[in-house]
Amino acid sequence: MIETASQREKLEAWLKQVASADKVEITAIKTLTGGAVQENWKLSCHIEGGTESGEQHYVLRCDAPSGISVSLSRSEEFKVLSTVHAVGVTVPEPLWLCDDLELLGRPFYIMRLVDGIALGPKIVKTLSLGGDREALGWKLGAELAKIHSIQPPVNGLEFLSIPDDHPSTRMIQQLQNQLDSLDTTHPVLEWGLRWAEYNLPQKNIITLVHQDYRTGNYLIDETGLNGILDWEFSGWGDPMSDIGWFCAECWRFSRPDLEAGGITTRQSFYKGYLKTSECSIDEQAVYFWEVIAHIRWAIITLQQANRHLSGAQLSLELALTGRLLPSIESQILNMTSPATWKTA
Amino acid sequence: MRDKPQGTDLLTEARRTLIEKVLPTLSSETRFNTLMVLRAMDLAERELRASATDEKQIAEGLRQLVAFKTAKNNNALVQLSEGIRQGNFDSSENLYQWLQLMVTFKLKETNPS
Repeated sequence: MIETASQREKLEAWLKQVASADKVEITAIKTLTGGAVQENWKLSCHIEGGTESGEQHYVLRCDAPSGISVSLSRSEEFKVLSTVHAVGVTVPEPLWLCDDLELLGRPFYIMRLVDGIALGPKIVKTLSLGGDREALGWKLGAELAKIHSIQPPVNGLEFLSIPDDHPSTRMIQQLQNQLDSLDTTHPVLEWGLRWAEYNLPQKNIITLVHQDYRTGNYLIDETGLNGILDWEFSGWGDPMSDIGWFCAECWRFSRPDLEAGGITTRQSFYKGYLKTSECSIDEQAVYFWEVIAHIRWAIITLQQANRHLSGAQLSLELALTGRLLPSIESQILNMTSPATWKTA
Repeated sequence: MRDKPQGTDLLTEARRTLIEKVLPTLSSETRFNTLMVLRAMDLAERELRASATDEKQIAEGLRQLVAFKTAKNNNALVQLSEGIRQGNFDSSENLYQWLQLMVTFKLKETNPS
């Protein structure tokens, strides 16, 4: 994306302006792994003048060549990130947004670089990361509660639609539409969605929801949590949906026994949440959202595979993602046996 | 007629060569890509070796499920999915067993352990 000297110069000139600096020199650019939907670049800069003066490290975040239709624009994501940063959620500090396509051909924003590891399988396996695991689970619960403390309306977030009906029925409809847009047929996912229609949770308050809050989307080091990432799916919804997503078995990697994201027990995570939250935890709703989490993840894997199959972005990683489906389908079936259908 | 070794045997040998001779020499970045290549080869090999009997059993189970309900659509899988969404199979034990059979078959290729 930042391939030519001209693009680099344009970026330096723009950084100089937004940072109110006298001079900005980009000393290194490196692509960062981990963004299947977005691209992330590490920028190392030498800055003279202004509040950023010195050696600085930033992350430039932009759309991948082919995105997923339900994700927020970079401008919208930047506004959400700014909102949660303002209420004290542990996130990389959002700095500057650029909607001008003349600069790099795609909208992007800059945030301060946060160190740490985000790779889910590695985090789950490497017990030296994240400090005490029970404390990490507690902290992740508490951070989620802070996100859920934000309720509509919020100035600057008008682009997020407030659901008229229950977020669960809206989600089922969305997932059915997404399934219909694929050119393949998936009876297990249809079964799961039909189960969901029979097991709708009670109506809850509407809060800001991250919608991708899971192990793999936060940065940790040896001491603990450094930042919650990947806000592109956030919106207004049922707070229990984030708890279900975090605890869903598909996000526990090699530790299915540790129900809170493969990190710790569900109790530790819940304790942190309840200590900070005004919401109670509705276990039945969480179960519902865990089923939905697997269906949603299954559809994402199919969409990822389609990015490869359509030729939009040829990639072995995307292609292989499509073959994760059977294990997710198996988890859906395990949770939705005929005996669990509420009123059939 | 093809000569031996067959494609599946060649895939097995190619994987062994990659694992034993190439993988230990690689940097972490190229190692990640090579592991993905290995995964793809592994999957393709198991797919080529899949049991035709299992596939027949799944197809027969599908035919019975769909014929039992209606025969409007020529594509049985599409017809089944539409039927599920319309509520024709709510909490159906027969359908649930067939779905498990199909997923178990696919898991043999993707997650054999």
